[in-house]
This record gives sequence, C-alpha cells and structure tokens, in this order.
Amino acid sequence: MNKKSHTFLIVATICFLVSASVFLYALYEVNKQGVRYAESKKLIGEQTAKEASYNTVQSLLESTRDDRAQIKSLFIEEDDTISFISEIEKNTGIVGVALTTNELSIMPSTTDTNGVTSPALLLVGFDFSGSQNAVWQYLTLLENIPYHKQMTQISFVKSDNNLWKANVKMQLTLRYD
Amino acid sequence: MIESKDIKKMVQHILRRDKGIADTQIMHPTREWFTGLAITLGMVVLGSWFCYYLYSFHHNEMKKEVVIIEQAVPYQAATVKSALEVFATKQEKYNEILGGGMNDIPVSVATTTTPVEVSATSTEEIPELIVDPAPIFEDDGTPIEATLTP
Repeated sequence: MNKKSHTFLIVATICFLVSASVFLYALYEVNKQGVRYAESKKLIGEQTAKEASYNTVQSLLESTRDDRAQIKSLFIEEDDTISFISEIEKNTGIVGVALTTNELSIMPSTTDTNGVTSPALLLVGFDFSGSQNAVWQYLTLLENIPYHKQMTQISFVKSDNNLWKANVKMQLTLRYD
Repeated sequence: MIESKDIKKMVQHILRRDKGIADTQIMHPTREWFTGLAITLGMVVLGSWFCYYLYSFHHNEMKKEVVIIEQAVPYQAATVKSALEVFATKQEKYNEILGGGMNDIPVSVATTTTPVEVSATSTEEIPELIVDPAPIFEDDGTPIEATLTP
C-alpha cells in the first residue's frame, strides 16, 4: 500500500466514523424528542382531563346552588342553639303545653379509626305536659322540626285529671362548613 | 513402460492443478470498489428503512388522540331531591301545626251493633243476660258491669 492509499484509507475511516457518530447522535436525539413528546402529550391529556373535571364540578356547583342552600338550611348552627330553644319554647303557647328543657349539650365531632368523621350533635331533652291532644300535637311538631335530627327517646305517661306528660330527647346534627 | 519417475510427474501435475495459480495481486480496485458500493448501498437502504420506521412511529404517536378520562362527579340528584321533598313535607306539617290548621288527635270510631233475636233450640231455660248499665261503645273510661241471672 502506497502512501496515498494509506492516507485515503485514514480519511475514509475518519469520514465513516464521523458519519456514524452523527447518525447515532441524530438517532439518539430523535428518540429523546419522541419520549419528550410522549410525556408532554400525556401531561397535556392529564391537564385537559383535570380542566374538564373542573368545568364539570363548576357547572355542577352552579346548577345545585339552590339545592345546596336548601340542604344547608336543614342543619342547625351552633350559634343558633339558643334561638332554636327559644322558638321551641315559644311554640308551647300555640299548642298549649307546659315545657321544661331538661337537657342541652353539644356532642363534639368525632373521627373513628376508619377515618370517618361524625358531625357534632346538639343534644336536647324536653319534658312537656298538657291534654292528650296538645301533647300529641306538640310531639308531632317536634317530629316535624325542619332540621336534620334523630329522636332518641319518647315516653308518655297519663297522670291524674287527664293530664299527659311526655319526655322527648333529640339529637340535631350541627352544621359544619 | 511407465516408470516410477513418470508416475511422480503425473502426481505432481495433479497436485499443482489443485493448488491453482497463486494470486500475486494484493488489491483489486474494481472488485473492492463495487464491494464498497454494495455495502454503502445496503447501509443507505437499511438507514432509510430505519428512518422511515422512526418517522412512522412518531407520526402515528402524533396522530393518536389524547384520551381524556373525565372522572364522574358523584352527585346523587335523586337522593337529594327525595330528601328535600321529605323535609319540605315536614316543613309544611310544622307550619300547619303552628298555624293551628291541624286537626285534633284522631279518635277511633265506635261501631254500633243491633241486637238480633235468637230462637231457642233447647228445651232447657236459657239464662237471661242483663247488662247494667247499657253499654257505651265509645270508650269513656266508665267501667261496665254485667251480671248473669239464671
């Protein structure tokens, strides 16, 4: 091999190595950009899904505004406790019973081991007496108080002179925001 | 007559023929040029195919539409509606009682019975049932006494 051929072989080898390097680098860049593109596309998809969910929730909140306001009004607030008791006592005059409030306390919100939170409760107890009809009407009134509640105890006793005495205990669910 | 010298010559001739003519030329420019061209062409074809494959792959990836998985918002409209109806009914009842529009406690209605004459089928004298005082069917709490006379 003469000197010229030797030089030519070296130049050809260098050219081949450079071309191969450029080709491999281009391949690496293409793959890298492809992976980046796939990740970006996935991210855009997730963002679009989140945006769609947000819009759905937003429209749902908008469409259920009245319902939520009504449901909110079905739960008594802690600050309204006194006015609630006052209203209950005021109603005794309308129905015609004598009422005594024998219990008024708040059971705080609790969370069980499963992470389920029970709302705070307003515990109230009433003793009231009157005619059979009045007691029945007042009991019906208590039963239909437009608040979310549970009547835990009801008892009646008929005493002398056709006077009926009743005892009612209730648990009203307190509102929490 | 063939001598051993002749046989040797023949064998040597055959052996030389198998070895062929030794190629004394190291480079074959034409052959190697075409070999190089063939290899280059093969690499170009393979590279082109690979580039086309890459292009198709990424082009298809681009054409794929983004699947938006929208999470359903759990809102039980029917439950809410029925709950609101229940509480609306309670509210009406509550207002009705406060407005004095509620009737008195429902009282069970007494039923009256008319006496039916029964003809005696026995020859024995049937004891007469005398109720004193007369029964009142609406429960007013008054005890009723009955005596049986022979």
